[in-house]
Amino acid sequence: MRVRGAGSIASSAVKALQIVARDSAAQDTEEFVTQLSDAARILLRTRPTAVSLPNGIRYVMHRVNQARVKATSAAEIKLVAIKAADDFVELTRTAVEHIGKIGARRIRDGDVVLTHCNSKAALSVMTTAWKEGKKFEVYATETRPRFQGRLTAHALARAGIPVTLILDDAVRYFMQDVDTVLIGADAITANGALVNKVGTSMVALAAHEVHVKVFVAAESYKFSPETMIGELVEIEERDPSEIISGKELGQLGRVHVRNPSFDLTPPEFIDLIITERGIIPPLGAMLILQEVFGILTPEELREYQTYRIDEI
Amino acid sequence: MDVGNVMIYRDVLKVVDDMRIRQMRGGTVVTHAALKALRSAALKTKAGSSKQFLAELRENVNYLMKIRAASIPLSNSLRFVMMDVQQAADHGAFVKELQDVLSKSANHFDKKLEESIREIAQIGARRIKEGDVIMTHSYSSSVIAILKKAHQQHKRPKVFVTETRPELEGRDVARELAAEGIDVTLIIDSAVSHFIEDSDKVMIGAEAVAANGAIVNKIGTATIAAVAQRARVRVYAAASTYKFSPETMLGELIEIEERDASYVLGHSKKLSHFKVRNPAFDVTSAQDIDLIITERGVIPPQAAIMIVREQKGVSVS
Repeated sequence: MRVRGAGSIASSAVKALQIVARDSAAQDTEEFVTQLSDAARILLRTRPTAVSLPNGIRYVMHRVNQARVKATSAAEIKLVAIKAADDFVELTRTAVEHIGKIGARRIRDGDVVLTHCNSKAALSVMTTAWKEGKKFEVYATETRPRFQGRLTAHALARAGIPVTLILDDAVRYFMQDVDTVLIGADAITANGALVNKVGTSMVALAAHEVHVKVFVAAESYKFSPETMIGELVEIEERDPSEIISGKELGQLGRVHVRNPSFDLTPPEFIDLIITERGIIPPLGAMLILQEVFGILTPEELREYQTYRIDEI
Repeated sequence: MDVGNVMIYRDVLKVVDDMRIRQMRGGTVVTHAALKALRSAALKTKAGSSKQFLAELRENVNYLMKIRAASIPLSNSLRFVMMDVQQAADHGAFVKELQDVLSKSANHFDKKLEESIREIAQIGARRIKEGDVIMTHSYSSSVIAILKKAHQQHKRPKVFVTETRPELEGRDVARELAAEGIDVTLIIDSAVSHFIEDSDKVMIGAEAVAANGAIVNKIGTATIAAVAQRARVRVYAAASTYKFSPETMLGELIEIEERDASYVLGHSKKLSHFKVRNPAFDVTSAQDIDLIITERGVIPPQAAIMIVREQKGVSVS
């Protein structure tokens, strides 16, 4: 089955882990933890490039590992696992809505908002603000190569929000008219850098240069704990056919194509990150990591590591 | 076609259509085509007097200038030709002679434009070191000439070419460079920031150069220059002196043309319930440009004013 969207991928995996916990016939805590860890590893392999999936697994396994020391029976630790899974699924279910409510407070009447790509969290902020009666307008970039910006423009127009679609190249041209840049996140690193759809860093640079605020809407499971132990976020490159068809490319002669999907925006271009737990400055990313995942050991981090990011 | 009270020549209408529909690439190409159209149209004129002929020409020239307001070589070339014709008319020339003057003047400008690009290629190629990785955006005859020249000098430049939305003229650049055997990589415009660290230089053309050294070029250029500056990558703009805009000295703003939404959306009709804005050019400020490569040598953008002041037919008064 195909599951899309960071939240749904992670919560599907966690639900699967919960089923393993519930059905476990383990006699003692050690056996239970071993069974669960094995299942966790299999689940990780189903989507090796997602950031939220290992975060979901980590969320559950970290709580199980902590309980394991004190737990006296398999039944006791089983309850911990089931509850942790429920909590995580609830988190993914409500995060976008919470972000919408918190973020909407940052939108003012008469604002001009610019967004890039198609982010559920960013859309939630805008539609919530609109429902609250705030009047503002939006510039949406088309977002090459796959034009997710058109989806954003559709969604906003459907909600009744005035929206203008522009080229990615035209961001700088229109930036002087903009009050707020609002974008989503594919991942956020320990130092508050943003990994998001390619082009985001140029949007943020253009904003930064003319003192336009840059807000990032990001669920807490988008924060990448492995960057805490120095892991680099590798930027995936996708198939050239997203940019130019094989036939058209053939007509150009010997031309290479490179198609990175994401880029890195440094924390100094970001004013704040809107999470479901509240608003933090980018350098507060560590706080979120610790709150959500506790203090993960390097072993825990390595065990459920991600190497690449592969979500839209 | 009757535009207002005045006839616009059929050849002129056709070249304007070509500019719009066939998406003519680059200011130099447009200028050559416009001069050619005006030349052949003027030969077919039915004007009975030089006065009438001049009036016709003026209308057609204005029409052409309006279509591509940001294209300074176009307006400079038309102004150049019109001055020659006007001068001849002032000396009492007949229609037949004026046609001749126009033809010669247009040919002369064409040749000078071509020469300028050859010169720019020579001068610009000196700025490329062996193995340099050059990033470029949109279609520039000058940049292509420089890269070809550097390649002929065995400097083996590698080139990142942006596809250049929405009209994708970057593909034409890629094809022309690849045909020369140059190592070309096509990227999307949004990936510039990702690849800037692998680049040694950015080379762009110009639709127009303002008196303060700012450059009007295809939308997206300003972003690339700003990204390059931050990454300490040099930004070179290649522009013949015909692209320097005398009007900006008088405080005129260069008008940025906005093109039709269909360039952005293609022909998808169901996408029509939101607004689209499609500016064709943007302005790169002089501080984001290291050098301008002209046929008369390399200048810092701040020296643009010197070139503008020397231009034919320009006086502040």
